[in-house]
Amino acid sequence: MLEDYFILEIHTTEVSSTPTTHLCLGPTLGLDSSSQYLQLSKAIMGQELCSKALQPGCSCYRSEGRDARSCRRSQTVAMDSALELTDLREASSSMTSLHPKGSHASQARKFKSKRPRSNSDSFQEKDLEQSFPWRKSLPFGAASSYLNLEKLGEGTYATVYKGISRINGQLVALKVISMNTEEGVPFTAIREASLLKGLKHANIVLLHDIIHTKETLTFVFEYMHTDLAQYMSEHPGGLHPHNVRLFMFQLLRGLAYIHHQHILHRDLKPQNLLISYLGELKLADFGLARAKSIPSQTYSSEVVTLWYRPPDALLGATEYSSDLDIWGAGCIFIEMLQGQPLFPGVSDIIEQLEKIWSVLGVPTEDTWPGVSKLPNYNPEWFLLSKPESLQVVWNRLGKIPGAEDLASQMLRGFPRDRVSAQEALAHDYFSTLPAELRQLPDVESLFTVPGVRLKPEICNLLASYQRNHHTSQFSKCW
Amino acid sequence: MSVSPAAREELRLSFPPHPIPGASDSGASLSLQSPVKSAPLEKPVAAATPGTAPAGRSQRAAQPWPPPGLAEALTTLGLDGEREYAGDIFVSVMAGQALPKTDLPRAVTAEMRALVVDWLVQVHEYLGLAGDTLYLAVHLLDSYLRVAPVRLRHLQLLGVACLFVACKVEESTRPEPASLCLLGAGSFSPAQLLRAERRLLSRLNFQLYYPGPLLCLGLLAALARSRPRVVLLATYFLELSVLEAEAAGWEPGRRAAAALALAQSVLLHEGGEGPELGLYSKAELGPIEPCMARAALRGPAPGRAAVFLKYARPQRQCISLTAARLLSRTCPAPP
Repeated sequence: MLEDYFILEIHTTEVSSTPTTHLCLGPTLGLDSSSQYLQLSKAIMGQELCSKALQPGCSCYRSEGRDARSCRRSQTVAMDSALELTDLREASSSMTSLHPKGSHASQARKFKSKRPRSNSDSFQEKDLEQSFPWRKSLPFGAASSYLNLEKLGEGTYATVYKGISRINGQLVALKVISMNTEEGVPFTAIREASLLKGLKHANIVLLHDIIHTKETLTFVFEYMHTDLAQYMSEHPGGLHPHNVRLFMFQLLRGLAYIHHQHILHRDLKPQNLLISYLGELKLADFGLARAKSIPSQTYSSEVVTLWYRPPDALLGATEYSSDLDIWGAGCIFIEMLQGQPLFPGVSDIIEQLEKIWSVLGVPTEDTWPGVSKLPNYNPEWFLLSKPESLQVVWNRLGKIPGAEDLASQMLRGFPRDRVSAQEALAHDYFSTLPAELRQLPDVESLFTVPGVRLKPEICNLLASYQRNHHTSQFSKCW
Repeated sequence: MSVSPAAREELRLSFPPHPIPGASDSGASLSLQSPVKSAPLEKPVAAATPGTAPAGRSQRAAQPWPPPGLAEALTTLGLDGEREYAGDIFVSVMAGQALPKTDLPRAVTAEMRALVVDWLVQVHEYLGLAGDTLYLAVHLLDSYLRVAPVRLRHLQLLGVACLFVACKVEESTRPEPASLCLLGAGSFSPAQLLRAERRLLSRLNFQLYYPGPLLCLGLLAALARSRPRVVLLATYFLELSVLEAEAAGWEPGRRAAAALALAQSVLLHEGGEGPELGLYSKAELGPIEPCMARAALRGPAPGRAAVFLKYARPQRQCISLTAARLLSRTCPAPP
């Protein structure tokens, strides 16, 4: 499928006549896809870079495990076979300024990058962005307007590549949708695109463009450097309380915006919260989002992790509204502070519920009208534990003023008791943030306000002390 | 949008000869666009006017928007988790835009469109889909017809592709392409359906969000505290309007308000109506109500029977039969 994408990309390149790059792909068709996109990106990025890159072992876009081997293999094959770059006058002349930094960057990454998406990449990419001469005339919606750089990850219905826009030089994330031959376009892709089309907010991921080709469908998103799950794994043991406050404010700001429009995200988890190198947090992955409340079949499928599911949904309630997302946001809040998921390791609904009851106490008809009528309610829970104070369970909540109160308002069993995102933004917990943040227009990021910035994470300070040579670069973010 | 009582009276009197573009240029075999059909409507409408037209009615701009009692209305709709956002939701749902008023493509007449939509109504009922899905499917069909040409023999394929996409947006269980092809009596293949789906998404550029008129009707009826029977009748009138090509040019909120107002006036003798909302003036609803009433009077006309038959079932209280009876009592039977 990916192969089709590349062939198509070349085809459209030829037709659009701007970059006159003819690439003989015939002999390489037997290769795996990563080698092909390697060749293609080389072909488009210029001859000189390409000839450098083709030296064995010299450059490889990904360096881990199997991919590295396959790339190296492809390089030798590609050298032997016909990788013909004809009529490169325009392409290479427009790319010359790229070569020194570009090839250096890709070499440097070979030694450094541990993960496909690492924060340290961003600065080299900045160089790349600045030195690339962009074509203003390239159209949106055409595959030839974007270059694939590297694979970032594979989801259930899509593969995400890092790419670069040839229209304005921005880094982008290219989500290539796999077409199901039975069902057509996946329903998650349809919902995500149609909802994101109408959402313009600094804390919602931006959908730049949609590319329709005959065989594939590609969504072009703004590129974000990492996600919250990865950020937390890079900074184990809990995040800096100041940063948690900034992340939480942005999460609630994004939620308030979509809830105002009667859209539920329904799949909040750290993996779906993208983070830029500045610290901007954006909601992403609207594949399960809905424009209103609906029956539960799509929600209770296995793809949604149990850990962030509220007790009402676990009990089998089918009518839920914005309070559904608030529970997930509350879980993420405590997880950021503590550095660990709240209710990890559970495998089924009942176990998850019992974990929740062990903290909140078992709900009764007094605390939660109608709870005993829900399908998964079990009267024997009555014998279980009494509610505990949240800071007894999660000690860091007690150390930050207002944190426990906000968390307890978000983690209420009875859905109607949960605080709304709009109310939560006005909570005392956020009173230390500048007042301007509440008057920001929708599309303005928090970090446009002077003085708002992330603080370095504790473990990052230690790490940067140990590997001294790149510290000056990192001081900009964390 | 304020209309003085005198002006309203004038409008009301002038609306019998009001041209109904869809009905007249479609060459409908049912020549119902004559004043004879519209005039009788005045009776219930006029009867509703004196009691329910307070002075404030004409000052819509001065009314609180959203109207009072919205949170309670949302509670009755099972949306009580949304109190905080009730106002925004109401505005965003009711402010849904109409499609631009353009003619159908040359190859497609209003009659042909009605035939396909009528078939979609049957498929929709057979598959037991949600009400919103039908309105979204028809909305997608009308949107596509405004941006791209379609050959007449592909109109049914386009219609079913619209329903297929609407299911993916709205439904939690989606019909198999093969079963849709079966319902199409083999006039298109699953592969053709999937190609049509891609073309539809590409032409519409994924702009599929449409808070259809059914959601508006639910909100308006909850606000007006209408009886279930009135809501059912209004739902019937609303669904009849999907057959009309011109309905795409009505904002979903106005369309729902017209259906509700018509249902209220038809069932006026049963009494017990809640407060008049007055969100739309008579002049705004004027062109829509007679169109729905004509469709209800038409009954099971060939090629346009699906909605009538659907609402003639006992589980829907045979409301379409009741509607035809009550409407024809106030006007002579169709020739």
